[in-house]
Amino acid sequence: MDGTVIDYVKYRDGHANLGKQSLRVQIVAFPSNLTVKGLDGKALFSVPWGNFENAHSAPVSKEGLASVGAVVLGSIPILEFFASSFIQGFWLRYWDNDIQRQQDIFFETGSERKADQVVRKIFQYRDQYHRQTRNVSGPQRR
Amino acid sequence: MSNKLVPFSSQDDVEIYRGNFLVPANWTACGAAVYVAGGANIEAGMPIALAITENALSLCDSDGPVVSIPLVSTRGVQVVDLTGITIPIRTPSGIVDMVPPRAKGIAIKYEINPIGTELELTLYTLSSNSAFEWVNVIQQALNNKLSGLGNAGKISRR
Repeated sequence: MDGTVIDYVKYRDGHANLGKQSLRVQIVAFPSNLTVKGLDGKALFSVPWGNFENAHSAPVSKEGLASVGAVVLGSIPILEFFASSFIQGFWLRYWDNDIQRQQDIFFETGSERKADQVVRKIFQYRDQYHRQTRNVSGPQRR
Repeated sequence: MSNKLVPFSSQDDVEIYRGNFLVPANWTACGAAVYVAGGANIEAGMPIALAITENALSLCDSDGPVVSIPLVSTRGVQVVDLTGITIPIRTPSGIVDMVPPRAKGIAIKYEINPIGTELELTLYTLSSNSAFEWVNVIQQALNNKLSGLGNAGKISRR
């Protein structure tokens, strides 16, 4: 099964099994699903396109992710000015059938531009899936 | 009636439809669908081929027909809403259930014995259009069969 690596990002938060952690991952698009893999190629979880709900770029506050670095920088007033209080990335929302609820997952991209690019690519693959399934032919006749 | 089987693959390169099926060589309409429930010893969510011949409607897997329903035993076919069903799909992280946001399929009612036990076979057709197309094709086959029976010959009387 061939997949296309959309990009390399950092998983940060939101998945029921993975919890909060900083983990380098690859976002891979397959014809029927979006898979998040570790750098070793091992799949962490998959989102069937039929269960995909949304993806959008948005920063989250470092406090929200309880980053140790942010707390340290925030305690020094001068450095606080220079340190961004936000982490740039994107959210991925999908329906997880195993736990019967939505999962909202945050990935860090490092820049808003990259977050937008990844989100755009995710939607391109999602649309490709929908185009394909909409055009599924019915019975072939003789 | 020919019992010969021929390979059939769906034209659609959609993962849940992929498969090589063995279907009756004399099919008049054939296509892939996903088995959902009823009347057959097939695992739910399995891709199968639905083949219509002049006399029967068969669900076929890679080894050939699993269920064959004579057209004369068919009592009705309709489009059904399958929203909420889960379809297992193969992904790199294992089998993952997909819940299509809107799912349409077909339900085929048929009788299995002279007493009239009625069963219903449900298939997921992936797109709504395909479901309506399948219903048309099956109804057409039923009409052809029934009108064929009607033309079998005049009743001789004394």
